[in-house]
Amino acid sequence: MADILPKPLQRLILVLAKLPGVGSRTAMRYALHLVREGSDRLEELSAALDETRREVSLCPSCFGMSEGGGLCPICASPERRGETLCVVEGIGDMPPIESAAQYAGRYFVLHKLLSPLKGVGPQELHLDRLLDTVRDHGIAEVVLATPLTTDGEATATYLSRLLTQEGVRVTRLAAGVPVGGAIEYLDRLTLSRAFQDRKEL
Amino acid sequence: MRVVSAILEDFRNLSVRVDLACGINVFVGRNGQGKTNFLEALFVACMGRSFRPGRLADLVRFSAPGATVELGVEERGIVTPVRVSIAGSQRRHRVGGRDNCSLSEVAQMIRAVFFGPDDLDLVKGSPSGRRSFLDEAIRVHHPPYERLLMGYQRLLRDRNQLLRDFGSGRHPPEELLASYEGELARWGGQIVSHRSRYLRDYSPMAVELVARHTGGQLTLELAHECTAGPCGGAIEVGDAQEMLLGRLRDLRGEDIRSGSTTVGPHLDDLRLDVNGRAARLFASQGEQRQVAVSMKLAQLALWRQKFGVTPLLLLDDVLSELDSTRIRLLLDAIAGWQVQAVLTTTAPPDVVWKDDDACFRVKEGGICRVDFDKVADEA
Ligand SMILES: Nc1ncnc2c1ncn2[C@@H]1O[C@H](COP(=O)(O)OP(=O)(O)O)[C@@H](O)[C@H]1O
Ligand SMILES: [Mg+2]
Ligand SMILES: [Zn+2]
Repeated sequence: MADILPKPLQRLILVLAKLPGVGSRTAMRYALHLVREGSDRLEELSAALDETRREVSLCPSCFGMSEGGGLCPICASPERRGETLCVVEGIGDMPPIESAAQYAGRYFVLHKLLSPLKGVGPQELHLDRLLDTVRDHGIAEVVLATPLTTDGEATATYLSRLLTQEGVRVTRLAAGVPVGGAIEYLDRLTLSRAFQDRKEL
Repeated sequence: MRVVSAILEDFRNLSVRVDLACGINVFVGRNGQGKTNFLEALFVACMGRSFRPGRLADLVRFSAPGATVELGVEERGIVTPVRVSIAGSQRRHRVGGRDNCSLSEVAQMIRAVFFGPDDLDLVKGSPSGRRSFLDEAIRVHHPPYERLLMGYQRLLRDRNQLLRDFGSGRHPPEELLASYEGELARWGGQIVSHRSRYLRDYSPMAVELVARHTGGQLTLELAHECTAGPCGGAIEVGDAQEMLLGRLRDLRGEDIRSGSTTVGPHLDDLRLDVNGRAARLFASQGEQRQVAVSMKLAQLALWRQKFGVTPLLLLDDVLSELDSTRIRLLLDAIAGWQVQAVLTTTAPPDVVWKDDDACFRVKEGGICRVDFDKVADEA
């Protein structure tokens, strides 16, 4: 069906289909929609894309998102406590932590988790940059906030070994009973973890 | 809880209605008539899957659009229909008037345990069969155990990949391997501990049943053979983790050479001795069969203790190698528990049946009730 469409439109469909959660049918629907909406809509989209390409890049300090090639707002802010660093898997992990409003330090985004099977080793996580940051900024505590999956846990374990050698305090987000959760209905793997991680009051 | 009726439509070669007795139901017929198919129908209705390998669609009669099995499940005088329908690769359960019930909802109504000729592998076969026997039982008592097993398998493959990376001269940092060993020991230690705690409860039950079902002639001993180190009795998670971690570190050099992890619950075994000798090597086929059946009944006894519900017992062709004394002891044990059972055989055993028992003849996909004393003549 797509072969009867003009070549540029076919290319647009192929590009759109690479987006997560978009298959070839949805891609075609989007493409046809944009064309039907007319040149204003296309202009708007292409301008937004253009600006994103020009202005948005990874923050050279934390590998989060920044504008204009400089530091991201968090790294640039004088109000953030400079001596703690929170290591997360992805940029998507930052907004929830921010809105929880418990953490006032800085971040480091790995973009990947260790996975020997998938060929992701320490080099792929630019850990040299993490170590540089820890040394150069006199970081006193690194909070490991990688997910509680096998990859996330293995990554946290490896990082803690690496960072402890640097003499920095390493902590891991607690795992356990969700706030407002009844013990009775908690899955037992979580519950046993909560017992292991219990704390003195 | 008991099954009073089963109505099958286009389930393999069967379209029948059978009213079951509450004791032992004996299905007699030659090979290839549909006996195992009937047990399979009951099992699928209770558990949502078959005990035979293959696809769901295989259960549907050749060239029919779909199959259904409806059980009448009685509990305190009230009969609830439990119905499974299979069309293509889709399965749907209805319990009472509620459609699309989950398997755990069905499990609250009824469960089934299947014993088949292949169960002999439990005694005779490789360690992996005994590991899955343990793991399946533990999963029933503790569903999140499944995630432990999956996580462990994943980490195992990760460590093996790292070992091969080392072997092939690409040198991942030593610390990386150490981290994965730490994780592997953390997950693996939990598995070892679960298995040992299950065995602490299970072993005495299995030992007792083997003795009882053989009139004291066979003495079973079970031992958790743990590659990480000695773990008689129930071992605490922390101890198991430490033991495993130590061994992983010790064996690192060797494992790099072989490219695989040579210690851990993925290699552990359950050693079975009968009268002081390895059952796998020294017990006769009949004795092995006996031990396998008693071991599965012990698993069931533990379920009973824990959940208060007794699963429907399905025994496919397991009596053939037992002599009549042992068959009677086994059937007495089943009757003593007031368990409902369905068993198949090519020739009905020569024992005294009770009023709660019933006999059926299976011939070319037809099933009808007959008297115990008539079935032998007609065969
Ligand atoms: N999907 C199916 N449709 C129709 N017949 C089937 C199907 N699957 C198996 N059969 C038939 O079922 C018979 C075997 O039944 P089974 O219950 O295994 O025999 P037995 O009485 O020896 O246990 C075979 O004749 C086989 O052709
Ligand atoms: Mg059969
Ligand atoms: Zn930044």
